[in-house]
Amino acid sequence: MDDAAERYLDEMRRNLRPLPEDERSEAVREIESHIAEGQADGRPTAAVLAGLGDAKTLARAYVADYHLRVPRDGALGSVSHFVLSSVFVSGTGVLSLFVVPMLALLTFLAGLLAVVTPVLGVLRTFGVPGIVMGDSGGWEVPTLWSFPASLVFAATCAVLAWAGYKLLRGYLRLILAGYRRLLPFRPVLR
Amino acid sequence: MALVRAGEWSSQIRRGTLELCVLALIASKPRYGYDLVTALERWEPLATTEGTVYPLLRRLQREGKVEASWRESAAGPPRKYYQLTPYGGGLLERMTADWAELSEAVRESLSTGKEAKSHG
Repeated sequence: MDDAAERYLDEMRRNLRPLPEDERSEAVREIESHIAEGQADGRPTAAVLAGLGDAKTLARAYVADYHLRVPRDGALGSVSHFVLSSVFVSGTGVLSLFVVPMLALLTFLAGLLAVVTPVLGVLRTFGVPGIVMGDSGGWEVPTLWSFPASLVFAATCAVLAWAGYKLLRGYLRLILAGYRRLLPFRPVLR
Repeated sequence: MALVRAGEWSSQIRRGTLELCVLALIASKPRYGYDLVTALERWEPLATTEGTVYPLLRRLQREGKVEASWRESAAGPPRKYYQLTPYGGGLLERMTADWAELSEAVRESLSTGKEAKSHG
């Protein structure tokens, strides 16, 4: 690569700034390859660059094409698509209203208990008053067993928190994938 | 003014047909950009600014009509090879049929125009 070619690629890179990084480097890499092929073909660099046209114009063509979204076959404007979208959006909307806060609360509370319980277990072992460990029937964990018992309880809570987090993530992914499928346009990403 | 208009018109026609030609050339064998550009240069009316082919290729790839892979070349830097996807292949078939129909119709309408002129 000589100076003129480097300058051309720099100019191109600068004008590709509206594009994501991978999109930009891919474009520059391909043009760089084109210049090298032309040079290997015995053409002077100036002629190869002239053939490519103005670097700014070329970059703009990439940017313009990137923002040109493609309608998917049949997805736009059909009645069944409209009805299906409405049912899906309202149905999952109502469902999410319950599922999302419940799972979020479960995850948060279980996570909090998983952290706090072992601390309380230690405190109770050393006789700090006011900490009750036992069942509702009045049975209490012996003081010496406070810490091990708290660990068992905390582990259970940790599993619950983890499960809640996974469920919430899975649920959101599922819903978002559904929304994406309903879009009348294909995502512009590769 | 009329000349400028005619120039604009031809460049629009070319832009529309370039996609068809690019797809057809890729269908014959996997090609990299430079190869494609030199192949297009064989036909003078198709020899556009070489740069315009690259954004077009990028869009065809994004639309799933072609797929691309970088391959090492014996001499020089790696090349980006393009080949048709099944979707692109089907599209090319339909476009080719449409083009045949359209060019036939245009030819007929032009010759009708000529006949009318010579008779009148």
